[in-house]
Amino acid sequence: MKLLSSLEEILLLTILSLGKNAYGVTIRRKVSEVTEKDWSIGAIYDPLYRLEEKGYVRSELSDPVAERGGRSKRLFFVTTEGEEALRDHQKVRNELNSGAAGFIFNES
Amino acid sequence: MSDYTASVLLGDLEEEFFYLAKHKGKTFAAWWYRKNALQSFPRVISHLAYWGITMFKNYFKIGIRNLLKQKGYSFINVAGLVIGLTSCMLISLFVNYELGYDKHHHDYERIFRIGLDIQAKSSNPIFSYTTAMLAPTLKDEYPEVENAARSLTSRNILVRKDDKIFYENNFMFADSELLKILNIPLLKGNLDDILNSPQSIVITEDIAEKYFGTHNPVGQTLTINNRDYEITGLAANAPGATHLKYQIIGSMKRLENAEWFTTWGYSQVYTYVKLKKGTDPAAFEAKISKIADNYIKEELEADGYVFTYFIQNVADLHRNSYYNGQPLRFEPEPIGNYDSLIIFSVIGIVMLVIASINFMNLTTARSANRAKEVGMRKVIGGKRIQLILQFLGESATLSIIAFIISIVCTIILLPILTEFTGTQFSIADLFGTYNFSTFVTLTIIMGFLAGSYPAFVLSGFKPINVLRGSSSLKIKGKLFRRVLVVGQFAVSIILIIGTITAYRQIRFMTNQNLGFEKEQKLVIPIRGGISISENFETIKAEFLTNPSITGATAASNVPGHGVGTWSTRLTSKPGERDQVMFCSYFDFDFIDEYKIDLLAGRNFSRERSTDVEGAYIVNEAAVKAFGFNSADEIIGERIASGYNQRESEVIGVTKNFHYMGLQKEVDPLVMEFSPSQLRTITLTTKAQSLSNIIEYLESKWHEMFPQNPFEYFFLDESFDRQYKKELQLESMFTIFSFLALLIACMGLLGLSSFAAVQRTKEIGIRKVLGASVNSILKSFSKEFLMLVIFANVIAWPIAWYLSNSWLQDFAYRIDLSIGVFILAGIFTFILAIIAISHHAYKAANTNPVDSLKYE
Repeated sequence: MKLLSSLEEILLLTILSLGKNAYGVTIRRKVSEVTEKDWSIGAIYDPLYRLEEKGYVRSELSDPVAERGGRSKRLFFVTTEGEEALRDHQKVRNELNSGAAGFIFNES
Repeated sequence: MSDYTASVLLGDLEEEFFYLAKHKGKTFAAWWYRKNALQSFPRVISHLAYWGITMFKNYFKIGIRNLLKQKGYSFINVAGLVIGLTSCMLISLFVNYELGYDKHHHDYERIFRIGLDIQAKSSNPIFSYTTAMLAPTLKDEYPEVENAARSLTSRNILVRKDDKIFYENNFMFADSELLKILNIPLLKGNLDDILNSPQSIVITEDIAEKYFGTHNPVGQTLTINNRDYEITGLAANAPGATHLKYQIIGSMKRLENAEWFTTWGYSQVYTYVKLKKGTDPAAFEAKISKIADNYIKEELEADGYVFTYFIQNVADLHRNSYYNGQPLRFEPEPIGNYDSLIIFSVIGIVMLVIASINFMNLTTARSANRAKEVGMRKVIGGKRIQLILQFLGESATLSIIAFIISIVCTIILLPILTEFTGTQFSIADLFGTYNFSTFVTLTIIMGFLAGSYPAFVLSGFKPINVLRGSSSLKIKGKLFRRVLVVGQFAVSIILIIGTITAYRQIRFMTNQNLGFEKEQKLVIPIRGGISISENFETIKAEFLTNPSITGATAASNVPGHGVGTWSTRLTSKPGERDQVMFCSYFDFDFIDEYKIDLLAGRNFSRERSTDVEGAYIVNEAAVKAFGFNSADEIIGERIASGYNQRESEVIGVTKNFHYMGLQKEVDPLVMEFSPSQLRTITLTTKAQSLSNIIEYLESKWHEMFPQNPFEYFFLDESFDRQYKKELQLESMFTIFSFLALLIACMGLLGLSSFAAVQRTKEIGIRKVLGASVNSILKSFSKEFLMLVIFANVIAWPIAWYLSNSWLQDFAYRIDLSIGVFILAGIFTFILAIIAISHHAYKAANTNPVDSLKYE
């Protein structure tokens, strides 16, 4: 059973939703948009590297892009382990949610 | 994080910036960009710190490896520095101690001793003694005087408590106010009543422990010179650094009945005053300088005397007790030697400087071999500032190691310093704030100075030049290093010449014909309240019964032990004025036993009863002082001199003999026959079976004086003790010239090995072209030996000047000989050859194939 922090979960879902165009700028923009909060670049990259260390995402460098001053993008992809972790996480959440819902109902 | 990551991050930032600039305006984009940059700061810092520590670990590792790889260098480097630092520490301990003399008294700036300058007809003695009337007069009549007191030091007193009998040297009579002025702490007793009766004494803890152990001494009695005194107080021990050492303090009241105590003419006590705050000492001095004229003006004028009183600050007494360039007579203890303090300090500084130079030189030379390391570091991405810090750090580490070793060495050598200077030093003195912080600072500065050259020069190398394998790597500053070597050797040569000069002068003084016989003479001092005025002839006869004792004579003092002065006047000529002359008293046999030559007249004689009633013998110098041209002229003239100013005939004239050390000219001396003044018995002995003689003397002594311990000394030894100062200087010079030479040779050794490395290829090529080992040896050594010769050229005139001015202090002195200079030169030259020969030989014998294979 692989568990994730909520930020990790958000990042994995974001990368999946961005498809083949998930890199620093797009990920940060998407996360900021959804959470309605301005995330700093460092706040995004730190957990990204952590996910990469855990093997949930992998990254590769793109060809240099002119609009970035000739620098490469680091594109992120969710690995199979990452997808598995997401699934595990989702499962736990679902089970707990249903139990909690029953509890809440009984009380009220 | 690799540089790649950083680049991706920067890319992200830039992309976002342009996006924001397009959608939200440039200002917002700029603000956002800065914010994000700032937010990354903490990470940047931790990143730098991490790599900084990693690099530091690497520098440290490389530094240690370098030290170990070049053990010889490291040892020479550290050892040289340790020698310099240790010498400097020891010397500064001593100098600080001497300069701190009598500075512990509260308000020492306001405490003065009064001295007396007496101008007489042909002499001008300066006394540290003044009249006993002075202190009370000053206190009563001069409002600027806060307090005044007197003291009188007495030596050779015999102290007895039951079966404990010892001679004590630090007895002084004093007014109780003196304890107040010099703030001598009283542990027991009340300052106002301790010295009220003539029989009361105050003792220090030392004496209390010696005679009473742990018992309370207050209220007990001590017998001093066969008279009982009551102990009324206990004082703290006198500190080491005071000119007035005291162990037993008696009351001035004991002396009040003496006739001289109430006269203004006679001087026998020290007078101390404490001036009120804000008093100008110079104005006070001017006010009191002619105070004697208020009381004895007529007498002084009639005798042709001018009395001038002057003041000396208590803190100057030890190191600089001079008035008008003359030392004062009757100081309570020998005054410190200011000149030797300066010589000491200069040597200390010079030692440190040549050690630092060496350190700097060797560090530079050594670092040249590390050019490749520098290149490598730069290629990998080392910044210049990192390299600078690396080299500075390494030399600072070395100097700190040397510093720590020096402290250990200093602590180990403290007992030797104590023995050498006769003063107790403790580890606490070394860590005294002033000393210690100075040395820490010095060490750090030295470390940085030494490291600065390689740090800034080497770190500036272009990696491509260094790593290409080019052999043309030149370390600049060759001239500078040569100057340093010359300087080091010059100092060593000066010290060597100084040592030899001091040695020769001392030899000269000890071997000089003194005008009397000092060999085989055993002297028994008569002290501790006993008198031999009645029975000196029987005592002598008693000793002479032993066949090993061939002669005996009694005298007031023996040569080399100080003589008293008295005013002396030629009475047979009217209108002659008083002069101050040294006076000595002895019996009929003294001149014969001491083999002193008579120039005219005769010796005291047992056959002539008039001699016992009064007769004088004078020396040649006195004949001249009285204004006579030849010895014969003074025979039959009448003079008055000595302790009882008896007027009698001059019956004989001796050749000048050295009754004092050879530093001084022989002064006029008046000799009188006077049994009451006899304080020594001199025995002439046969060389063999000395221990038997002493045993015999001791048993005889105890028969005659059962109350007094038996003491003796040998005249030649005690006479030569007058040259203690010179001997001290000589041994100091010996030690330091050896150390300076050692450092200089270490430096030369290091530099020659450096040169050998630098010239490997040149020598290889020379050999290929057909140079012989000999010619290479010659060319290699020539450079260094020229430096040593040059050092000699510089050192000789300086050494000549210094030795010559030192010798001027001696009335009887050697001539400087050129041989000494040449000897010192050859000596250093040979040592220099030995120092460089190893590396020269190695360089000359290298196979050119090895040295040239990389070209």
